[in-house]
Amino acid sequence: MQLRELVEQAGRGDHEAFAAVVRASAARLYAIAYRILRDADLANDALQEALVKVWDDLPALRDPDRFDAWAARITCRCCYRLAKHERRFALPAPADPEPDTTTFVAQVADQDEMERGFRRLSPEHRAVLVLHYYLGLTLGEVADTLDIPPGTVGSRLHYAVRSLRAALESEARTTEAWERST
Amino acid sequence: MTREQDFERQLADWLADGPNTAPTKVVDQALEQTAARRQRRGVGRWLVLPLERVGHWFPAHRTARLSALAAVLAGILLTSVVVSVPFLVGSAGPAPTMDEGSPVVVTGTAELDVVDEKPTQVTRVVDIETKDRRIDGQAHQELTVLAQSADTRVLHGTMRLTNAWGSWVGDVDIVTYPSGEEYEYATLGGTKAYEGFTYHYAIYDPSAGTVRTFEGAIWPDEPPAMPEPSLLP
Repeated sequence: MQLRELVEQAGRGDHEAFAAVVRASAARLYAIAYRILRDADLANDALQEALVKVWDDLPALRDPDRFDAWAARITCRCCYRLAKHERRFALPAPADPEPDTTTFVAQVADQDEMERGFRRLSPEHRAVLVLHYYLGLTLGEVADTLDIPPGTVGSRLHYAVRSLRAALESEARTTEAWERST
Repeated sequence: MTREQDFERQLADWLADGPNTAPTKVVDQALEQTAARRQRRGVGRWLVLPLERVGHWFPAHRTARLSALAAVLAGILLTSVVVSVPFLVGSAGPAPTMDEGSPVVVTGTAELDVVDEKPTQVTRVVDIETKDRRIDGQAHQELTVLAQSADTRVLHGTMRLTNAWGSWVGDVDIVTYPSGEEYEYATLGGTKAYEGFTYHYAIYDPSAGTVRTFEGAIWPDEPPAMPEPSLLP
């Protein structure tokens, strides 16, 4: 059975159809939640909260073909809510004691710096990055999914990318200075 | 490949590295929780079902049926208006009290969002969350870039923070660093319920996220003048 039909049936209160919809969509929603929150426990909470809300509000979904975007929006909002109330969300990733210069370790250091830069962003900025660069949605699709103006998507994306680049470049400068001093 | 594309590929690769399956336990718990839960139905469904059930109470003649239905709907509408008017009129609650005496310290968080950026002009929306209702709300900042170097950017502009009872309006000064750190300082005058008061705040938050903590004070009248330079130690 097509997802559209399952969504329609679930919207009419068919819990078996809803279970099938959940099994088809949960991986994608969890992937979004994990990447926004960067914490497995918080992502679990966000997914569970989002799935319950999807069930509650499914009768109000007018176009079943828009289920994926609608469920992603609910998941993002659950992430925002959890992020605002959870102290764990605000904790930065631990800093490296000192930069390394070998290629492999430098790549790992880049990943760490990306993680630290990403964790400094608000959940709203993270969501835009995840939807655009991870799910591959266009800016219009991101705006549609998050229900915000395309201009806001553009500015959030611009700010988030600039912040991340600044974090990585700052790390590169520190590495250079460290290499010069040794 | 340009530096920009290289960075975007690096970011996409980094985001791709992570779990792609949902924990079965979480999915099962959600299904268990929803199995015993009724879905929320729209107002239309909520109204239509009871009307279908009581349909046999209405007169058989079509015109009389429509008249009866119109009377019931008018009754529902009138009742809802009467019930909701007091809530709608007073939805923002009474104006917060303004202490005429000593200054009051206020703290909270400000979420900064750049909505428009040109080489010399920046427009930002700031969502403020605080327990003090007087400064809770959304602020708009229209900023001019006064100076920019590889390390810092200095901005100056105007700011308006508005909520249900009035506005705080004034000048704001900002210094930003490439890492995202930002230092911000503003002195704003009150209007309407806040007339005659001054709100002063500063953001000295070394974290680089978009949500910053701020500390400030609301003063009756003007804040005290800075001491003369000759009097400073």
